[in-house]
Amino acid sequence: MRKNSYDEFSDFLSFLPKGIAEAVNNMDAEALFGLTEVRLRRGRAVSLCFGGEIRLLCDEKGGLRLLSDEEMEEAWRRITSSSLYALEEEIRGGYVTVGGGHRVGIAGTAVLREGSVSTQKDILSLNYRFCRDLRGVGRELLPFLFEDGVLQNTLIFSPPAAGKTTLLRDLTRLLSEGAGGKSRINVTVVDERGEIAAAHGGRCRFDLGDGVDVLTGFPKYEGMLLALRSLSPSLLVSDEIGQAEDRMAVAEAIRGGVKLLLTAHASSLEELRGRPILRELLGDGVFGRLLLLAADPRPGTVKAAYRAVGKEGNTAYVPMVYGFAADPLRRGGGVDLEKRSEAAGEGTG
Amino acid sequence: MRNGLKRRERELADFLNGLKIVASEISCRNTPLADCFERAARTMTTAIKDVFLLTAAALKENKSGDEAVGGAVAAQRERLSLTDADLEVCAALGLRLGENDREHTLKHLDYMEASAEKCLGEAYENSAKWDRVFLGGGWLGGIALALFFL
Repeated sequence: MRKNSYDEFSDFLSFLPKGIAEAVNNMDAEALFGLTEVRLRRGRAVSLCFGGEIRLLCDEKGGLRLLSDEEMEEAWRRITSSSLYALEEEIRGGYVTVGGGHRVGIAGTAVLREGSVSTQKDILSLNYRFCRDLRGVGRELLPFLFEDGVLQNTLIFSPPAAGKTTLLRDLTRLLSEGAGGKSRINVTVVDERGEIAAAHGGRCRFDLGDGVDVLTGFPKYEGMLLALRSLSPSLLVSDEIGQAEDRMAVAEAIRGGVKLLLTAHASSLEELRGRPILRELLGDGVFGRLLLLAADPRPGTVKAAYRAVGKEGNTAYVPMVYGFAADPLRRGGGVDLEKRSEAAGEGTG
Repeated sequence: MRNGLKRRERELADFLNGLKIVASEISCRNTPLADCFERAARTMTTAIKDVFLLTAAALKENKSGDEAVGGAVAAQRERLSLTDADLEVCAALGLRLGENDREHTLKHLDYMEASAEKCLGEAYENSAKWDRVFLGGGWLGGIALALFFL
């Protein structure tokens, strides 16, 4: 585990049952390097995920560390702060964002009311995803977002846990602060899941810069429209688009001359085109740039970058083989988010 | 004894008021339980305040609602002027508190308010009864004293 991400890691551990947190914390720092997820399953061994690799947590005697019922109850209380009602909407959606921006996925039994899921009970599994704030990792990618000095609408896409939100957070900070010799701009972040800024109690856990307004918990469509109406941003940032109503919000933003920096789930351009709303947005030429990340060999690996060519309604995306200082694409390799952060010489705070 | 009765009244009134604040924090602001109890405690003047503060502290230590409220009531039991029945009502507040959705949490608080109101009503009645006894005793004493001097 990186030393300068110690506080983030302590935050993360505070939501695990005490016994499990101690077992994880007692592991060798090198062994924990690259930890992305901790998965708790009632009565089963605790899993630690490192990108695509899964390891099982062992106890002091070398046996598998199983999760007891009491530990699951404790974990649930820690996540919900013994106030389940306060997280009803999130639990209904299958996840909870805890302090520090870490997201916990939930699997249990649905409680139905009038045919729709009201909440979950009898929790069986919890998937803790470790959220990192890596400063400077987007610096090399900044030139890629501009064409003739003009910021392009950009979509970052990848399979889950490949570093989309981490990169999005850093690019937001860099763009708002006018990094790379650009002008400062006003940015509005529509943080539906509370992962980008991790706002809690009126404060943002992650520093996104001085020029950023954060709308937390708003559905993307409503948040984006509200931002356009009242916050007049130059750039709108949001995570994981793909719902039908997102298209309308994107269209409104484009009409208003606002630039977009968004993310979506997909592991290839073909998969991206397979999602109806995204296919329409791509076909309309909404995005000037596409950036594909991969979790392998490590989260944050830039697998491919594309730029739009052609006119609206007949847009094609062609791979780019230039633009990054490290130039990983030309070598056919990848850029690693953590290595980029180290190279930038900035701590993760 | 009369002071004890008045203290019971004030403590139950504080408890009832606290329940109302907790319920309004939950229904209007979705405030987490620990903060609800802390905010309610700020408005209190009797030993119930410490029950709410201890509950808030225990909730912050990730104890369940039952453990938190039960523990706080047990810890303050000696300092309170409440009857055993009142204390049972106070401790029942913690039962599965925070483990349900908002609708059921508010229903539970409504039920607790009704129980606390009943206790408070009984406390007022008791207090009024003893007031009458003291008043009657006072009159009788006064008459006896007057007769003595005559």
